[in-house]
Amino acid sequence: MKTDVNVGCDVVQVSRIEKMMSTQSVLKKVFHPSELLRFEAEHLAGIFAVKEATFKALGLPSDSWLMIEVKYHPSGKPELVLASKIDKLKIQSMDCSISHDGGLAFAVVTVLKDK
Amino acid sequence: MSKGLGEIKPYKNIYDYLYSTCKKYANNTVFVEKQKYRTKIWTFNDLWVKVAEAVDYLDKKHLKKGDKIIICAPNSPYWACLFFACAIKGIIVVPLDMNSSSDFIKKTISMTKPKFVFISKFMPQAKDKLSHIIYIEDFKTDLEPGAKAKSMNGGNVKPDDTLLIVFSSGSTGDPKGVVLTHKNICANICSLMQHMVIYPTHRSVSIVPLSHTLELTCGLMAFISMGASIVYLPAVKPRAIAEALQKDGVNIIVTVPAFLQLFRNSVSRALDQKGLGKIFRTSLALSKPLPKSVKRVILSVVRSKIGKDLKEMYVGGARIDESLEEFWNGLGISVYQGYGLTEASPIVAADSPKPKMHRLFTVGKPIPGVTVKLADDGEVMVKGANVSSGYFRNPKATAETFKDGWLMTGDIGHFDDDGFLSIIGRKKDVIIGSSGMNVYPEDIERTLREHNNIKEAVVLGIENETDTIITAVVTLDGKTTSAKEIIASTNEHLESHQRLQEVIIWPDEDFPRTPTRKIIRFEVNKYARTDKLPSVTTKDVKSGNQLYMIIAQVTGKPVGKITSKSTFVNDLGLDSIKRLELMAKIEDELGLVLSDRFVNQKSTVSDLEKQIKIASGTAKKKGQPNWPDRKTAIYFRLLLQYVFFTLSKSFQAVEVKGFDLKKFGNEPVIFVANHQSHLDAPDIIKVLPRKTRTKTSVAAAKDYIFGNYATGLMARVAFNAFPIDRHGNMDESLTNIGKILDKGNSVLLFPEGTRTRTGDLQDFKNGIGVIAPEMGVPIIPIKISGNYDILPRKHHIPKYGKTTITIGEPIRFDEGSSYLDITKQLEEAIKKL
Repeated sequence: MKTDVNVGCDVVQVSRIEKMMSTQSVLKKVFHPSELLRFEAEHLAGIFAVKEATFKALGLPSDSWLMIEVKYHPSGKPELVLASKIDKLKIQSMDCSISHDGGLAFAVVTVLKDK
Repeated sequence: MSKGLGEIKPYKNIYDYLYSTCKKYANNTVFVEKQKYRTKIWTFNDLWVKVAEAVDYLDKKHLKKGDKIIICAPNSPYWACLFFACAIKGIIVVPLDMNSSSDFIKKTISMTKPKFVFISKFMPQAKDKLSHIIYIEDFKTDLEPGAKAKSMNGGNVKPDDTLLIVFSSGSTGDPKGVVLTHKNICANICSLMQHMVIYPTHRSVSIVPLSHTLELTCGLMAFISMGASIVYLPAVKPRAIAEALQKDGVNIIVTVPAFLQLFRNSVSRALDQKGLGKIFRTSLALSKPLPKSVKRVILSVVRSKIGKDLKEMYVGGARIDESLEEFWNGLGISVYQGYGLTEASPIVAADSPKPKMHRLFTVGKPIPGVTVKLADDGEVMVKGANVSSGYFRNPKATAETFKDGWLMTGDIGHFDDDGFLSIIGRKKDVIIGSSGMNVYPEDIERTLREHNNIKEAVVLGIENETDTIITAVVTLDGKTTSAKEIIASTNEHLESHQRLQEVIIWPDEDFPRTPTRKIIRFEVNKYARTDKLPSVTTKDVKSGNQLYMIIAQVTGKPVGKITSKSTFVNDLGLDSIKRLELMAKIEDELGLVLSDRFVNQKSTVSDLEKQIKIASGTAKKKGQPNWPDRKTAIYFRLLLQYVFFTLSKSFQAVEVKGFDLKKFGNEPVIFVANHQSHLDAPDIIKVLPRKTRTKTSVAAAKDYIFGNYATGLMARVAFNAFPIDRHGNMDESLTNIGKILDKGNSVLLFPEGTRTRTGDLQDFKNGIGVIAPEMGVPIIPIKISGNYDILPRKHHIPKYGKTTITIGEPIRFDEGSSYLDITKQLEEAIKKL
């Protein structure tokens, strides 16, 4: 079986997410309640960037925010959980990574898929 | 002018007030708490129970009598519970306006040293490293159900104990706090109980922030003391208020003039659209009654905007324009003006529906128990149990305002021959903004003087027809700068109610001054009012296409630059965050939920306009009919179901196992089942206890069952079915389900979205994960087996067989669960049965 590698990346200004945090209706469209438990701009900016990077890597429509959940392993590493609807896209394996600096959050998502 | 309190015995403290009120109206509705999809009804008993839980909560936080807390949060029943609980324990509440700047909040904290600051986590100020924060959202969920606090009694609090310290930004720049005791507030409540005419049938919607005493004393406490109920909105926005007026039976409101203005604009627009505006204005201007037929048409248009029930408006907090009062009275809606100030808890005088107690353009007569007299210069002086003892740790300000037991209001008033009071103007230079908040010119002038190019500044309130425009007249330091620049840079440093709206540049080097170098403000004022100099107005342009205004706000592009051909990505620079903001604003202001999917590289403003047109078409049809809940419909349904159950016995044996639903109370629930066959819904209905059976609605596919009129009607008649959109419009489904649960009915959902093709359980759609926590009711999983063999897809004749229905234990979900997790959990729960 041949494998395709797909990559997506995204960068977001933490201050823009901080502004978003006062609009509840927007938050509900983008984040799971579990993701909002840690109500900090930097944390949410990281999750936001992962989700956008996932859209790019998987070619998902731009309103699939709630189809993806970002969980944190006790070690601090972010992990992706996808809705069953997406699971079927022949994904073999995927991973994500987040970085913060200078008021920015940056994320990369890699997906290995059946060709 | 003085009157006694009559037969009403004043309450000793807030405990006394709340206990008597809750006991008297026990099972009446007190609050209608609107959530996004659900409406929660609070009875007075519920309020008492929640306040007891809140007292227990405060006990656990080790708060004691005399401690202070700050509440800076949106209006809600929980705001009220927290306030009452503090009052009962003798804790002093410092309420702050939600629009207070972080600076102002910090100053208030350093002055009052509160034990905790209760603030909404969604307020930007919450992120500014304030100390001892408790999110109001957490307070709500941390209450322990049924907790009964020992300290839930009134014995500990004396009438003269402090209840509130209410701050406004004072003229020295430091916040000035009015100290109000239990006695002060209770006296004002008792006076209002005699003065207003309120019955348990009255219902209001809460608009003015509870941090203002107008809302706290009058809008909340006086209202409910007479058994009236109050609607609390998830967010106080014009569209939400209009919806409450139309759908929630609101017949009375307490508000400030700015809102009357807002409603008038919306009503006037509607009248103009129907070509009735001119007729109405002419008849008002000539004060000539309209022919009955015309009046009826006008009223129907008005009612479409402000609901059919609204009859009375109590207005205070700021001067109300005469034409505004005339407008509403012309429509048969009584406007009762009131006059008050925080220092008087706050009501001093008010119009009342009682005979000979209402006169247009006056603020009515002094309320019982309050004495009003005019000083020689016309200054209004107030005495009564409602009058504060002074300002918090500010003896100088106290001495200036409270003299020999009289509150010197600084307002110039006038009594007519019948004792009606009118307020003519302000003695001080204080500007009352249209929001009703005090604006002290000195504060703004000081900020202006810090501007590099400004030498000197005078700030004035210039009243136009409807509003007070905060205007600065400035002299420049020789360098060039524009009025626009001054407004922008100054407003950054000002509270929202202080913001400059207009700047006039004084043509000379200096202002006219007295020999002692004081600026002659009168001359400046005269110049500002009469001479037209180049000036910039920062007020939003109120006219124009609302969608374009929204797009302009989100993208930061000028409205004029936006055309129907503008592309979102290239021309307007819309990225994913702005796209989300745009959708949220459209939802807020136009009441339409759109998917943000269609905004792609190529889409234009006109594409969005088309989407909005489609969405507003479906939004109008959104409501569900009421007839399926009527008694006759229910009997007919039972009959139909009986016929079906009898018929089905010929080919089907149904067995039910698992959790006994009879043990479950009357609480509405969501049943969640796997889907094998068209027989599933009738079979589940069959095994439900009879009481639940008549009160369960079945979700049916909008595009399948409800795609055809006959099957849709049949589904409604036989199963009380309602449409659910399988392909995306979550909002509509959530709204429908919320309304059903609000009626006390249960809902049956098939989260696979369609019947199984293989006989096996298919993946659940993600929607169930959102529905379950949003609705806040228990979920009962149900597993069906056997129906796939009896009547699978594409078969029309059932085979003989046995069906087993297994009912699982009710599941409740934590507030912080992920939607994906919930979907998985429910899938697992059904698999395990």
